Amino acid sequence: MPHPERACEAALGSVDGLVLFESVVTQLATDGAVAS
Amino acid sequence: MSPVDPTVLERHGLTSSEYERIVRALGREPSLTELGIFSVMWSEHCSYKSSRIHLRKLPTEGPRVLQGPGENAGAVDIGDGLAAVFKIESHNHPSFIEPYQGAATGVGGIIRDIFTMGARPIALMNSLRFGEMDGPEGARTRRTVEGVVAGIAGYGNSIGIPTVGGEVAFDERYAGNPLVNVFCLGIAPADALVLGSASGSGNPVYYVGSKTGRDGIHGATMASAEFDDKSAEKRPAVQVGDPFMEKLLLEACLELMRTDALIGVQDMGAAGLTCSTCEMGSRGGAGIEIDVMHVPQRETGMTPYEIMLSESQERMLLCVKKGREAEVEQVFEKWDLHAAHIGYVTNDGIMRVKDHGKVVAEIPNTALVDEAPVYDRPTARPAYLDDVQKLDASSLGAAGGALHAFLAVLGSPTVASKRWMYRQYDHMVRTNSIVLAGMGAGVVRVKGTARALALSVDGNGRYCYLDPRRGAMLAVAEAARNVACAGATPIGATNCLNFGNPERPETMWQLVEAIEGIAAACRALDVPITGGNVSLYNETNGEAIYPTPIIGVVGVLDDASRVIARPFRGAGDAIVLLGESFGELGGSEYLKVVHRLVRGQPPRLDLERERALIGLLVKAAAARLLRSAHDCSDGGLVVAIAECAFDSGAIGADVDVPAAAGVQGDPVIPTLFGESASRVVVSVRPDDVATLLQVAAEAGVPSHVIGLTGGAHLRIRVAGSPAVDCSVTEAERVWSGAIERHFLRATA
Repeated sequence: MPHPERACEAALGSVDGLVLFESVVTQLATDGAVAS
Repeated sequence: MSPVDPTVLERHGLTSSEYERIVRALGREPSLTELGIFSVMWSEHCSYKSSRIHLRKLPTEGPRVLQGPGENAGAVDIGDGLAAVFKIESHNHPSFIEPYQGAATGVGGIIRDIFTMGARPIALMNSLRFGEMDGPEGARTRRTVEGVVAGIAGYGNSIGIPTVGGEVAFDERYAGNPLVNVFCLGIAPADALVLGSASGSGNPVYYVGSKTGRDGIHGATMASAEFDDKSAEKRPAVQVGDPFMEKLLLEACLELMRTDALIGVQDMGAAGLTCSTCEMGSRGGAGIEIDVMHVPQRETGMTPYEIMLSESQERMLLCVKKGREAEVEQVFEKWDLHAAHIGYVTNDGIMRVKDHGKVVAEIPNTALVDEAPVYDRPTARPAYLDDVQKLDASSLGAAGGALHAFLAVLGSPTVASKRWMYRQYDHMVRTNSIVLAGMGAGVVRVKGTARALALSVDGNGRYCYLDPRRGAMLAVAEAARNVACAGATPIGATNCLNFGNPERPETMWQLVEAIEGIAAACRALDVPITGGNVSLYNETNGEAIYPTPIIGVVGVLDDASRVIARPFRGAGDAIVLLGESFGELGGSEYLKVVHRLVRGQPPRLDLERERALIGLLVKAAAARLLRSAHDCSDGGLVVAIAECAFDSGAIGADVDVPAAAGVQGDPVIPTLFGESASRVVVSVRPDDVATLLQVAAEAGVPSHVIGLTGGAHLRIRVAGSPAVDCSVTEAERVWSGAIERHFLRATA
């Protein structure tokens, strides 16, 4: 499995990993832990 | 035992006239420790005594050059206040004796050279030469290949620096003497390069990193001698690498360099503590006095001789400002490293080594560095050349047709995909790699800027065997062209000269011819040489390798988003051949693979044409005219076209190439497999074809629209006659499996 952090930018060939980090941020925002 | 005993001299690789020179320089007989110090400093590896007078012919200056040869690495200005710091170095001899550790410590050594300059290493490359994987030496070669590739991966992956590309070739001439050349690139602030010098009487000298053991003693002298069947006994001279220790050293050194407490730093590579002590003193016009008692030791009972000559890895020597000791020690403690204060700078220009206060060596730096012997060795044009340069193409005979030859060349390990190798390398760590390994030049973006750097290492030993001057020029041209294929302007180069025994006039002639060829090509293409390495005595049992100069070129791409890679991008694009084919089969992969011949003259090179082509590629990439670009080299035009189809998702090509110019008789084979220089296959959107052809004409580069991308086949005609028709999938299977299959079988 490719490292998700290496698949977050089109310049690196893929953005498939970005969803993972977006999901983390969204969840933390929902919980009020970070500003969305 | 008297030091002048001839067997002692022989063991140190010194001649009796060199010994007399030592006595003259010292004004007395040396002690054994001093003799050991002289022997490593005056070894070919450290002193460049056979090559030095010729290396002066290389162009080393240019508007972008910030640091030329003579420091730990070279540096060029890439804009945005940044410098690209890079160098290539060989680790051939250790890799033959112990492939994994030899290659791993080669990588470790070149990384140290880069961060020693104050640069953060961001990319690695390598250039490898092995024997054939089939045949009588096959099993040994496969073990060497496996060990070397695993060693490169083991070190680079662990320390977290991506291996972004490289090149590999196979020929029986390397069976007893593989080549492992490693290249590293780093980024530093252009105004804060750190130099390897010590100055300021009384300033403390620190040792930091791994403890010193008995490993690698006389590594530099070993790298300056031929091999024979007893070389396995030299195994203890190969060092063992520790990438995790080096990661700590890297971070600690870069942190210390951000303070102004540091005066100079040098890694302990070849000739270890000896070389770093005397070179740092020499560069700063000072002396250094150390006491080996303070040197951290891994083994008990080590003599001063052993401590001074050890090549234990991951060690650095630093000169810092007096009064700042606590600050320096704190930085290293933070990274779990212990900095040992082993001595201080003096103003007498002498390298003084004590053991518990008693002087064991006292040598003026000038004697070691400036008075090292410089030889103008005799040269003689080798007799074999007249014969091997003759090639009668009409006598080659039938060879089973173009398709058969096409598949045979694609399946040659030198041409085939190196995927089995680069899959083992972490080529993405640090998330800068915008062209992945195997897809063309290595390209890494420079974070914080819009720019990217493109890197390529190239060389062709067969060409250099047939004509060392032209072969070396072709290596420079190919590396620069590969960088330009990515859209980058070549701005600097580094060279690694791998040759046989320079005491043979024929080998020396090859070396001189190659250096002069590199000089001419670098001048014409505006790529100054900023550093490098010479590896001589690449012989086993009296048989030399092909003369193999390897050139690394760095290019800058001002807008990283305009980068171009090898594979076709979609169906319906026009395929354009830039440059002209002359059907030159001399020294080609085709001749070697299909006819088992290494003969003829390597392709001609017109440096003005090459320069025009490189300029055109950069301009066309900047204007976003190109969809893909790939240079024609090993295997010729037909292989270049096929490689554009590979890794593209099986996008085929339907092309009709004009017959090569000036070919007598049937043009098919010379047109498809000739390796004429200065040619690139590009794909272009149909709407952009007219513009590209116009820009090419303005640049004085011949261009031909040869066909279209698309379909699932490679359909290639020569002047209208069908020559090759093969499904992309089938061709790609042959190409991608040729190396891998040797290792699948070995593990089955």
